[in-house]
Amino acid sequence: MWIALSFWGASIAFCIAVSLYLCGRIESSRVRRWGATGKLLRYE
Amino acid sequence: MSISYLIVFGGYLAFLTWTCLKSMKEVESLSDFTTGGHRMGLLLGVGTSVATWVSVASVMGVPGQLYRTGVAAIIGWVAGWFLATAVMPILAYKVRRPELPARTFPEFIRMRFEPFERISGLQLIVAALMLVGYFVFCHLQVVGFGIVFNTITGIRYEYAIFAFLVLLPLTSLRGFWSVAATDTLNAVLILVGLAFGTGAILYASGGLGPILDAVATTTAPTNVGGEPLEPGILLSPAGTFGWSVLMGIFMSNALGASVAPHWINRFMAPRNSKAAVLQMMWTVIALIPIFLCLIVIGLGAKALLPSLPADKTTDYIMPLIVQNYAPPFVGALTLIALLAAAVSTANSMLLNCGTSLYYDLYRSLYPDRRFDDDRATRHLRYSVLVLGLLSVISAIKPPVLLAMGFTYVYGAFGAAFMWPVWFGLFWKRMNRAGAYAGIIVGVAAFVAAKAMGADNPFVVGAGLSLLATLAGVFLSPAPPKEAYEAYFDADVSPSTRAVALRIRRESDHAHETQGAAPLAAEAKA
Repeated sequence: MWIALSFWGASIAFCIAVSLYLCGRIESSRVRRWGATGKLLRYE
Repeated sequence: MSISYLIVFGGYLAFLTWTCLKSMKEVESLSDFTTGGHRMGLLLGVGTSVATWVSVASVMGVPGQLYRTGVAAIIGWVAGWFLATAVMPILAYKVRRPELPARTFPEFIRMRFEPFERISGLQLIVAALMLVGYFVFCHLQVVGFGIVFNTITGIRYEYAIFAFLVLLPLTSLRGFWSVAATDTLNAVLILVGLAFGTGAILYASGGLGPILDAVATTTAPTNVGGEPLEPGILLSPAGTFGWSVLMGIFMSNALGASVAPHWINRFMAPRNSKAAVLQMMWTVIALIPIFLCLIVIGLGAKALLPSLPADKTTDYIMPLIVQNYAPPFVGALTLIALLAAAVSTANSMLLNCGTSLYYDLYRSLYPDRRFDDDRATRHLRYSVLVLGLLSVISAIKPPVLLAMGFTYVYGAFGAAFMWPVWFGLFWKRMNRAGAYAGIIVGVAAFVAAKAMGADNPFVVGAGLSLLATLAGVFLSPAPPKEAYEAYFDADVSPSTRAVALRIRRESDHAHETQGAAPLAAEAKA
């Protein structure tokens, strides 16, 4: 049961980490058209 | 049908009609119809993504698989689909980068690999594969719809599926905006309905502890008169599958679903690249409570109803358990949530099916014909209606379990499209020959491996597709910069912009000619 749930939990953690990293990359690119706004979780 | 069911179902129909009328104002062009004009905000984006994920394969198939095979279904389906969603932000980040993005998945393949072809063979092949795959998806949603409608009304399944045709015009005929609006409210309904259903199951079974105790010791067969289960098998990670088969299912769902064309289409709709990334991150977070409910219901069902009647498949477990153990109003809410799941995924799949048929096959074959918007959207609606009717007819005798059906199609999509999509977005050297080889070998190898009974046909298909892709890439010249530049650089060359404009103009004369004029002049300069 716990092995099965850990597969699931790892996928969720990976998704959040990857998304925040990509938002950070968009911010560091400063390309407004890609959604850079100066704030990590804002897109326009 | 009790009064509770009538009230909840009537409210649901009223809400579908309202969202349909509201979204009628939003559709102005073919681009609006196919991808919402690339201006989708985060709330609608998350709503439509959640509702598309939560199909009958998840709300009925997953509890059914948990009931049949135990917690292995969490690895095979739940973790598989979450891993697919987890890697989607990486794809979304690139797909939505171009200033002039594609409007459909086959058009994306054309722009990336055959930007100079008048008639793109790759676009036609991909559209044909999508047409088949999404037709199977629609068929599975109609099967799920029929099972729930049969449970609610008592109308025989063979007739109940035709009620789907009543809901179809309310959800699909206004294109992407209609699909997104109904999906968002469907997602809320699904979450509320499942939460109530889970509460009822927990109450009826005495809580999580008794459920786990019952699942750990039960030997009751899945169907009355069937083979008894080994004690404890339902709580072992590989369950009744064995690791090899389970990993095949997990990989098909995870890697195959991540490159499924309808998801690539979803990444084209948000306003920009960051909105596309955030859309998938919030989708994963919103899916957590929904899948927690499904896990509790699936395992709780085994504790409450140890064996199904001999003539019922495990796809029936969800509606049966809710109807028998939840109070009438809660049961009605949960079963309507199941209908919402079927309708919200079916409309999205039908839109993909219709778009592939009309936009990517028919219009691509006749690039010189002019199509005005009214005529184009009318033709698209006819396509959606006819495909809806055909999927209802095909569902009269359902051949496979819901969740397994999804796994087969995701496996085929993954084997065919994984390398062309990933390499196309992240490797400049990826070229046309590699895409042709990868797609054709991938799908052929998957079908052959499946037909020969391989444990893991996805690995066979994707493995051979990788070899074919690499051979194609290294045995042929590098692609022109117009093919890849938009996915790698913020500022593209005038020639790249001109190519994107030409492709969009060829597909949508009425709007792209006007909107593109300043860009075209700039590109020329």
